[in-house]
Amino acid sequence: MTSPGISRRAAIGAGLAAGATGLLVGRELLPADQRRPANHSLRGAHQPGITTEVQNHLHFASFDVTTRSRHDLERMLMAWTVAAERMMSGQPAGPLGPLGGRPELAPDDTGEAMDLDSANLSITIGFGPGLFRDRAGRDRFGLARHQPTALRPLPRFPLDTLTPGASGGDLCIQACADDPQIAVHAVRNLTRIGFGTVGMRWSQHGFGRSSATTPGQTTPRNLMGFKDGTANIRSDETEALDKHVWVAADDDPAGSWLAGGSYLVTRRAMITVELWDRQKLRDQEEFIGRTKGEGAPLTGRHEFDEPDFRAMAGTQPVIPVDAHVRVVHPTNHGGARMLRRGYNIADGTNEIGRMDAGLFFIGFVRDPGKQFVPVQLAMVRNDALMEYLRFTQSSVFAVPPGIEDGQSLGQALFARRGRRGVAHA
Amino acid sequence: MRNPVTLALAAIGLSLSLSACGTPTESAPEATGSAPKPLTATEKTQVAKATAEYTKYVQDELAGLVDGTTEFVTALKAGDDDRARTIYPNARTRWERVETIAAEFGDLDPAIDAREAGLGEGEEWTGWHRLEKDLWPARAKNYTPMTDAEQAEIADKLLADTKTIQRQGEDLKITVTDIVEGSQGLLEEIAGGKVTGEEEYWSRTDLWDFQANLDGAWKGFDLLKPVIEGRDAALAAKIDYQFGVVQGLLDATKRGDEFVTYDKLTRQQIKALSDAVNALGESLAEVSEVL
Repeated sequence: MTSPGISRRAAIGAGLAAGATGLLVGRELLPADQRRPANHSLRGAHQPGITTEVQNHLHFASFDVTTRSRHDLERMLMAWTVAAERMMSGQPAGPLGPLGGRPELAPDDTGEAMDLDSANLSITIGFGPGLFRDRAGRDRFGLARHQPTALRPLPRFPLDTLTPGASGGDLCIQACADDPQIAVHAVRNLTRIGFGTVGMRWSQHGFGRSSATTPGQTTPRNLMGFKDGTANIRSDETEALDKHVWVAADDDPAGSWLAGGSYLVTRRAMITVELWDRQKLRDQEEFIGRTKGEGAPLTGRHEFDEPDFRAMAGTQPVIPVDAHVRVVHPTNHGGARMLRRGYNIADGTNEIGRMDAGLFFIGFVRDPGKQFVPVQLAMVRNDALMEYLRFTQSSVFAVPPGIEDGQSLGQALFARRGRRGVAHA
Repeated sequence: MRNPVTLALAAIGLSLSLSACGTPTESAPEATGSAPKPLTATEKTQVAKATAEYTKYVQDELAGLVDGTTEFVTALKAGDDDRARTIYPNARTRWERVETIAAEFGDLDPAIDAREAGLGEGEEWTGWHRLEKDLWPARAKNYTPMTDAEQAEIADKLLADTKTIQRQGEDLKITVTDIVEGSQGLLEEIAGGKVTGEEEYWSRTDLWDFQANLDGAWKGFDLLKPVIEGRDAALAAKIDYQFGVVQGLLDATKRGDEFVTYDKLTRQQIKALSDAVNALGESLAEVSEVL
């Protein structure tokens, strides 16, 4: 069997890489009368799925870019933009839909979302450090000089027991919806569109939100049984969002394309629930630093009371020195806050018959090195909860801002022409 | 299927295609959801040539299969297991190149190529993989080797069934759809059983089968390429490229001239092969849109 020689392949690759960018995508996608109101859209100052109200279900996926062609990559992001907009408005991934094509062909939508509405679906797309440079530090797509300084793989934290191959990634999709089938449908169809350009590296389902992002939303509970994310930044805290979540235009000369975007950090924390469940209620509350029922700090009565870290009961602080709320509290980290958007997870059973359950932490920050890494380091070193947690996954992505009509996601980055052509990887 | 990227781009009124010199050009999208145009006179000639050549290809492979199987069975019955183990993956190559077409002939595919994991309760197990397990029993638990008589019986039946298939192939009438669907089917074989290491569970020689499936699919595509190029040059170029990618990854697994056994592959190699096969499979599915 003959196989194409290097020269032929290279020629095709070069041709693809020299392709056009910035093709129009937008509202002309569907005739006006066929459009249902979109709950979420990639258009606007920010992508959805950050400050928007947290839905109940998550399907998060991370991808490796498998092509060397910048053109293919841009073309796929364009197609992702179109399909994501369609699905967020309750439409099938492709224009023909699950049944509209010829029966001799595979449908352009997988079909499990038929008869369902968009279930508040939000799709958020992020770029990992590997999109800019390969492991040897070489420029992959002529984007290296636009890699923000803050976008670098998270350090290895003490006690991390990362699952091989299940951290990081070049691109990510966060799909959140109030119906898990809708979230899975979104990731599945975008993955299929990406075949040949990206391959999935790892993915994660989440079934119960473990944070609240809007003022009206009640604080949910994590699998330790405690309210989680009481001190989260809410969508109406405009000033705090600008200070702690949104990247500003002058944050980083290399990353000005990220203005209005954010950094997304994920950490998969497995809870050894069998051990945790045998802890006395009083001990559990002291590990957290809050009451289990109300969620009030041990020094207060109501959930939103500020904890008083100086209050003493005899010779001991009321909130112990290793209580979670103390260790990670902004007052102990120069005021650093995050927008948390994590989910509870239960992925079956591990090899010795224990529940593989825990929390898939998702945090949005303006600078992971300043707002996340120090807090996580303090946690793994000093937090009483670490006795019951194992971190098995660790990733960071830059989430570009929202787009304008006629743009495709990441266009602000790709429009900055670096050195063109096939990467040298 | 229609590739969702093509569709998405068609939906916004633009598509990209590559002209002969590799320069991207914008072209008007074809109407979505419509049946392919009937063949022109020139295309009919091209298709006739392709089907004739593919028919001959299948027949040549089946003839080669009979030779290889004869050699294999002879070695086995002579008690030369080492030689039988050497012949095994190479003889099967001739089968795997054309298996999706050959499986259409009749009911002999299960008798020749059934895997143990695919058997129902009480079903008789014959064919290549029955002998494979006997030659490579290392992964089998509490395995009782076949007696010489049992082995000879299975081997003789394999050869007889193979000769029957070859005879049936003599008056083969292949259509363009057979080639297209045959190639798509071979990609599914790779994605479903070879890249996962399930096909050759005992011998771990899955990569020989992988290559053979790829050969057969590539042959079909190469023969139809003039027609596909005329109808969608970008698609033809993409498929050409993606065959090259899969072949490149496959070549990279070789030590010297030989493939390694499946257990020597790294997780990354398997994933890269799987991703590349998914990409090529989606593109080959697109051929049904134009032909």
